[in-house]
Amino acid sequence: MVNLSSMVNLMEKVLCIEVLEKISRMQRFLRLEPDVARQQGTEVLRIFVTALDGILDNLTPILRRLSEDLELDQWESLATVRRLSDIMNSVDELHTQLQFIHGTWLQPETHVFIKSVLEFIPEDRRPKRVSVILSNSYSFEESDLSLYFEYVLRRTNVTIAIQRETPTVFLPKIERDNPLNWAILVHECGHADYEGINKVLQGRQIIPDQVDASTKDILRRWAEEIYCDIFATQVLGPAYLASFATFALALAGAGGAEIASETHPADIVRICIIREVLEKNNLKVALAQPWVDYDDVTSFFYNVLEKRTKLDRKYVRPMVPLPQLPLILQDFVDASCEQIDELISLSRQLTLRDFSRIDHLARRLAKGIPIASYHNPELVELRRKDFQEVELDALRFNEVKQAVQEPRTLLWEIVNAGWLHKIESIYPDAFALFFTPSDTALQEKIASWGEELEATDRLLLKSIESSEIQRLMEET
Amino acid sequence: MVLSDREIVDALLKGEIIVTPLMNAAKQIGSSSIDVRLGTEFKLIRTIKQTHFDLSLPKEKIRRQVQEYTETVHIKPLEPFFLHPGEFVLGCTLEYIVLPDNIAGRLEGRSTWGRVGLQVHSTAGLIDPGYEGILTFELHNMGKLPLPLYAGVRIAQISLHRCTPVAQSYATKSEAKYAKSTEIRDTTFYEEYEYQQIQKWQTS
Repeated sequence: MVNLSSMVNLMEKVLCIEVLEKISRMQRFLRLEPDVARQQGTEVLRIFVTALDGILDNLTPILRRLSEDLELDQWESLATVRRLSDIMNSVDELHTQLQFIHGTWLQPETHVFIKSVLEFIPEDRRPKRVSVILSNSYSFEESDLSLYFEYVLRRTNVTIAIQRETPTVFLPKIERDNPLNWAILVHECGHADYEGINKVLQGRQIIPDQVDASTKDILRRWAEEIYCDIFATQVLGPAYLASFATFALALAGAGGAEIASETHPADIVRICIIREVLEKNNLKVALAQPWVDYDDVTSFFYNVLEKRTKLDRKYVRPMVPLPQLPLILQDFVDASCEQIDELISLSRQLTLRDFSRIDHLARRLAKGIPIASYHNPELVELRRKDFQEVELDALRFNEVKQAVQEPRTLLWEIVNAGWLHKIESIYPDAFALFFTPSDTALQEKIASWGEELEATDRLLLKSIESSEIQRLMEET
Repeated sequence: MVLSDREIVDALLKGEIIVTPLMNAAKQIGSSSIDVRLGTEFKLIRTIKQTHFDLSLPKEKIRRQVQEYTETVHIKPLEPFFLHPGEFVLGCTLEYIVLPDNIAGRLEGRSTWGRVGLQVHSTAGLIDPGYEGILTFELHNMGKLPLPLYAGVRIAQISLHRCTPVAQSYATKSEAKYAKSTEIRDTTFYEEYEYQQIQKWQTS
């Protein structure tokens, strides 16, 4: 049994588990190869399997050290984190090589997910469709494919005009079955809300005239990223922070979470903004049992990332001088927060939502039961008493029947319950498996933990799909 | 004894049985049954080059043969799956079912669909006490026209039967191959002890 309240090296362990998860997901993706391709491309698959085994061998000394459960000093902690970053980069590199094996189709649930997200954009500016493509590189992106094709061909001196908007989001191949990390796709869908972005950018003078043109460009791109973060937070609440923070934790790499690029503000700045939005709206998903001092999903992931960021500060120096997060961007954040309920459809405002049943749903997931719908225990209890005390006629019996009917759960509830389940069940199981000394080979451990991850993925996918079917049946 | 509508509702209220999602209790709970809906996953029988399941092969290879024998198709909500006359496919319930140790179930077709030739199971209709998971349909179109099947449609029903608590519930049996399933699982007939015995004698 893992003692959560007095856990040492929490950040290092969470980072390690996230890297192991990526490896496990890549192993699973390789198993998806159709039989025919598997027979023809055995050699290619074998290279991947050998490479992944080699990566696991590199992880073994770190796991052994962390299993000793002694608090690392800051220099050893820094060395551990740098090594884990190198290993994550190798997984990232290997992901790019997935181009050499046959692709596989998207899960139908991905389309249901994206469709549900788009409904958060008010109807008058909602894109008709956002396509999803499985990507070889481990990155979540959005692009207008028509514009991209025009650009690619223009470089060969061929000019074409496709003249239609084709917003497309890219999902890394190994995240194909993982709805918890589809949360980052919500941010990418925000980029497809072209009108919304322009409205907020133009509605208020957020970038002063006195800054030079190139800085203006950078700030405009940053503002768009922040808009999309706020949009994703509006759609999913704490689950978006959880997903983005684990992504930043695993992939901060040599850049560190404090380093901005020309296209994106620093990850830690973005996480701070997301946390600010959640706190302003008092949105919390509480943990049943605190980990160290953290008692909700947001503080857990924020603190884990902050710890890594502070550590990276000792090592990383910014390469390119970029504008620091200026006050003008804080203005933009404030403007967006003021208009927060206008960003999405009125009926779906975050502030109207009830987070109280997330805990109940996470407990159902822990029992292995899908969470497409919600059994209201209070109503059930009330009706149970009616049922026992009164002799029911047909009319009253039908009323009692209604109590056993389960209203559907919504996408944001499913994803938040999934993250809560990850912290409360999947992490503790992984900690017990990987950070307890044993004679079991790492390959065997990762195979058994991979089954747990796969079972959770299936539960979440089934929940998303069944909830959508319930919605369609209710409406028609 | 088969459970009546009152007993079914009572068992659901007590949490003795779980049927989730239970979308429309008024429509789904009948006098002595609960209607179940079609899920989105199907397993089709493929034409393959193997002539038979070769028991002389190692278990892993037979497993691959079985995998090759079927193809999984996943439909989107509102997308039809056409079951052609004479065709046999595996399907599954949208609902996840949990039964206690003292209630068994029986999967049955619905008259509405039976009248156009749809069979929902050919041989395995019994649900053991203690079972937990989705149910697998053995769908067979015995009519003369293709049937458009959609996820979420009520195509079958289960009746529930109370018994004395079983000594060992399905979920705790070591040979429970389909417990806690959320997807259609392939047959594992080659793992049954009789086949392992046969294989042992054949290879000795």
